[in-house]
Amino acid sequence: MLERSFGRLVGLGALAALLMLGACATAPQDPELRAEFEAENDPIEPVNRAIFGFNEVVDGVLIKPAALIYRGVVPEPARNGVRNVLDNLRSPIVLANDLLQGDFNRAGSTVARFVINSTVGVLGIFDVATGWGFPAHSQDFGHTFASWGIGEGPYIVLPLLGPSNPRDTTGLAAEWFSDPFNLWMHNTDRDWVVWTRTGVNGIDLRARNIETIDELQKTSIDFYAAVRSLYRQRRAAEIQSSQPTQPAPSPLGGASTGPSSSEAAQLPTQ
Amino acid sequence: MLLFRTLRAGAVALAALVLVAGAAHAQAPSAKDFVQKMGDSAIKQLTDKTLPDNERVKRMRQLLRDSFDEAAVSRFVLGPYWNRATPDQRTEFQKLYEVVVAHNYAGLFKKYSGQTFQVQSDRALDSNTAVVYAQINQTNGAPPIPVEMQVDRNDDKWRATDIKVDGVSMPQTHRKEYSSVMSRSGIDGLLSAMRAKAKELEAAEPSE
Repeated sequence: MLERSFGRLVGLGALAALLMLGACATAPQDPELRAEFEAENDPIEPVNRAIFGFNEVVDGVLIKPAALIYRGVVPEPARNGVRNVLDNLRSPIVLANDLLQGDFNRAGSTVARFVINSTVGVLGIFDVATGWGFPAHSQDFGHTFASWGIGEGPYIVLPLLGPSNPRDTTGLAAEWFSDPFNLWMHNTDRDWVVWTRTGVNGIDLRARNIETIDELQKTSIDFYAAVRSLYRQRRAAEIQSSQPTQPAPSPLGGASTGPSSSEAAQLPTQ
Repeated sequence: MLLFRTLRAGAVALAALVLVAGAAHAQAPSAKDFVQKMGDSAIKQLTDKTLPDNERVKRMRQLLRDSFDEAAVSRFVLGPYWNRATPDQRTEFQKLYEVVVAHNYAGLFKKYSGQTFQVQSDRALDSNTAVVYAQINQTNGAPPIPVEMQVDRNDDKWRATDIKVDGVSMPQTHRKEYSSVMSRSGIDGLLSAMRAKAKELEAAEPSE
C-alpha cells in the first residue's frame, strides 16, 4: 500500500516523461548563451513544466486554500506545537543521516533533542531542547548522498511533491520506506496516520510560506524558472550547512558563502 | 641638541599621523554599520501598515537606488546577455528591474510584524569588498532567518551587490529566471514581458 502509492506518484511522472521525451526545449544557437542555457540541466523541461502546471492547479484549488484555513482557524501556538511534534517524529531519520555522514556530534545532539522533547517537551509539542543548547538541524537522505559526493543530476518536478532531482527523489523514497513511525503504523493497519502526517506536514509548510510564494508569483515573469533556481539554491545551502566542518566561520551554522553547486551565486565583481 | 629635536619632530609627526588615521577611521563606516543602517532604515520606512502601497514602493525604489549598486546587479542579472544588449536596452532593463524588485520587497515589508534585523559579523573579501552576515529575528519562536549581503566600497560609500536570504540569492534567482525567458524570446522579449509586468504591478496598487 505504502510502496504502491509512492510508486504510483513517481510512475506518473516517469510515464509523462517517456511520452514526451522527444519534446526537448530548444537551446539558443550562440555558444555562450547555449552554455548558460545548458547549465540549467533541465533536459525534460517541457514535461517538468507540464507537471509544474498541474501542481500549481492543485495548489490553487486545494493546498493553498487548506493552508489558509489552517492558518486562520488554528492559533499560532498550536500550529507551532504541531510543527514541533512533526519535527520530533522525524528524529530517527535525522539520526540515521547524521550517522551515515559520520557526524557523531550532531547524532548526539539529535538523540538529546529526541529524549528531551519527547519527555519534558510532552511528546514533542514543545521544543525545549533548543533552549538547552541542542538546536535543530535539517537533515535528509539527499544530504547524505551529497556528502558521499553524489551530484544532484538533472532537474525534475514530481507530481504533488514538487521540485526535485534524481538524488533527492531517491532520498525521499528511502525516507518514505525507512521511517520507523510510518512502518509501525503501516504494519498495524493504520495507514491513515501516515497519510494524515504527510498531509498536515505539507499544509503546515505551505501555511508558513504563503506570503513569500505570493510575492514571488506576483513579481515573476517565468515562475517555473524562478522556482527551479530557488530549489537548487536552497538545497545547496542546506547541504552545505549540514556538513560537519564549516569552511568559513558563519555565525549561524549555515549560510556560508562558498559555492557548493553549479547554482551557487557568482557574484558581480568590478 | 640635534638628536632631541629630531626625535621630538618625529614624535609630533607620528602623533599627527595617528590622529589623522584615527579621524579617517572614525569617519568611514564599516560594512557592518552600513548593512545594519540599511536594515533599520528599511524597517522604519516601509513597515507602517497605514502607508499607501504606491508610497511604499516609491520608498523601496529610493532605498534600492541609494543602497544597491544597481548597475553592477543589472550586469550580473543579464549575464552573457549584457554584452549583447544595446545601451538603451541596458538602461531600460535597469529601470524595469528596479520596479520589479521594489514591488517584491515592498510586498514582503508590508507583512512585517515586529521582526528585527541584526547584523552578526562580516568577512572581508578584499579591502573594498565584504560579506556581512545578519539575521532576521522572528517573533513566533521560529528560528532566525539568515541574511547575507555582499557589499562593495567606492569612494568611501558602501553599496550592496548581492543579497541572500535563507541561502537564496535574489540576483541569482532573477538571472536564472530571465535567462530562461531570453533563451526563448531574446532581450527584447524579456523587456516587453517586464514592461507588461511593471504595468500590471503598478495597476494593482491602489494609490488612495
